[in-house]
Amino acid sequence: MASGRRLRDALPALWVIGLTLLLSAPLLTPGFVLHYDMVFTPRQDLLPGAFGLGGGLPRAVPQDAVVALLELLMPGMLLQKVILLAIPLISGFGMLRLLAGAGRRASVVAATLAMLAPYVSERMLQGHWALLLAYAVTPWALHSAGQFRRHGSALDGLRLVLLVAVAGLTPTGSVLVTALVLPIAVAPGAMASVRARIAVIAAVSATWLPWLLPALVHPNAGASDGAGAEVFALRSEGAWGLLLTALGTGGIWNAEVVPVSRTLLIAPLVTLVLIALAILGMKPLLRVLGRTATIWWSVVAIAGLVAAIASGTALWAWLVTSVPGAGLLRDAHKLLAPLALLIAAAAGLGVARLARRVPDATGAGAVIVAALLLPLLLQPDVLWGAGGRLRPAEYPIAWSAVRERLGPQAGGGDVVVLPWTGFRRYPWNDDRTMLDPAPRWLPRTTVVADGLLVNTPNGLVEVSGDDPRAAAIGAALAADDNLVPLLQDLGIGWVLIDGPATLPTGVIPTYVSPELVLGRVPGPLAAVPPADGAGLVYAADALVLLGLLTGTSALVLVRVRGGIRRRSAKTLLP
Amino acid sequence: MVNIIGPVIAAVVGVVLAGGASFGVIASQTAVPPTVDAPYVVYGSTE
Repeated sequence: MASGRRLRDALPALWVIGLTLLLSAPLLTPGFVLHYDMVFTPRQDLLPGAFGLGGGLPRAVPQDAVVALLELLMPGMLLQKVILLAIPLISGFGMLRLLAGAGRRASVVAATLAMLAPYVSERMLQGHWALLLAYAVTPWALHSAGQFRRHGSALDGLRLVLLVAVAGLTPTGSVLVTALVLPIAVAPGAMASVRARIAVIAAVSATWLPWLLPALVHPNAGASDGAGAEVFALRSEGAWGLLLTALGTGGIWNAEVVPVSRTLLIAPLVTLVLIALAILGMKPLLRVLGRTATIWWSVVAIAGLVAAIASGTALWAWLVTSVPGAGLLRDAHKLLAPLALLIAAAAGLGVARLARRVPDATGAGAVIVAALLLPLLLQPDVLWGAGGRLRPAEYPIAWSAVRERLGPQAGGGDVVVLPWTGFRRYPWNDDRTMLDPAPRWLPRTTVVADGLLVNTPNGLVEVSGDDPRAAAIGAALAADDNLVPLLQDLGIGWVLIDGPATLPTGVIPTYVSPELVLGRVPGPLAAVPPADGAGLVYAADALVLLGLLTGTSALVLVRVRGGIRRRSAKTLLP
Repeated sequence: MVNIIGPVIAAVVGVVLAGGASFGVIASQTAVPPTVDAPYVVYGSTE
């Protein structure tokens, strides 16, 4: 009897684990999953670019620095697999935790909907794993914010800060999660003292510094190419238009990463059913999370929805290009994360409410089982590694050889990669489009084409990059100028050929393989001055890291001591 | 007679080279590596 109850209690957790494997098991085979912006390598180095000081605006910051640090502890291949498993697991278990007060049925349906949201599958195919990590920790951050609000415990405040820091691996994740949870934690009516609230606000703000500081000191601070606003606007996935697409949490700008199931008529119908269930679940959500949390979550979700739908307008383009920092918001589909989680939570509660209205137990059980299985059956192309689109691949050995040749013994100079295109398609990776892996493979700063070429109904559009050295090289190539003097002036001592191109005239080949050719730029090289404000950025990063490590240690210590006390109390009981 | 054969051949060859070069049929840069920025991969498609 007791074992039956234990099994029933464990069912939601087992379901989340099973669903995670159903989504990600094929990604666990040896190799790297390399798709669009998702690039991992065996060993990434802690270069200035990882801190946002590599030339371009800080986009994968501090994501790259954190990956480089973690790869001191484990190989890149293992790290990627841990992350890819962690995203569905953390989001699923987070929803179970957030809605624990609403019963198993509601929380397990909500967890399923959060893990299978179109937002997740589209962002995963685009390779935005750090943003999805922010999405995954959001339910946990909401829970901690609610606890801090209700009890004012310093530990809940600390937990909240650490969760926002995890979400802050990318600027967008940082902004989204902070905007959602910080007001819930500190708005008037919270039990915490004013001093505790100020401390939480200050600590959360400090987690922004690793990406905010390099953005502020960059020569192109605040600038954003106007073409980006139009190209990266929300995109309708069918004849049903932007509103239904956005309510369904799809609509990423890139048609190439949209699962086929999103383009079928069933997609808007499922959206309508989910919205109806979410409306049914709003009353129980108010009861479980409280008025402030529920209302603020809805406000942020609706603001994201409105912004995403408005992203194709001239007003949005003006905002993105004119307001400093607003360029962060140009890929407007990202802003749907709070909505995706809100719909999952509220629809889970709505399904449980519906099941309670069914008079017999079998019928009620059938409602829950249908709610768990239908999201799987209606979008089989997001399961099992996105229906086969995500599969690990092994890098050719030439990459290791080039990395070895560019070690400290090889002399100075940065690297430039040709042909001049920021994205690659390799036969060994089934010709999947992927970001150039060289900046993450090579042990020195690597300059690559940072303009983004996008096919649009109006033809090919280039969204310009922001690395001045890349701009100079791109201009020289376009003018067919001799590259060597320019490379010398830019402090670039090496040319890597990764595709159908030859070494520029005068560059001396030092390594030749069928996949890669490495050449040395002759003559003296100009010294590359450190980026503006580099010292400030490094100091701030070190302080933030120290603070986060201290906070994590404190949490672990409290937990261990709590566990010891509980065990002692049990042994003392008669 | 023999003295004008050389200039005639030179003139014909010169005209052929100049005409061919101006229409892009031939180039004097065949020994130079091709430009390195020819192929590109698009980031995605909004179509």
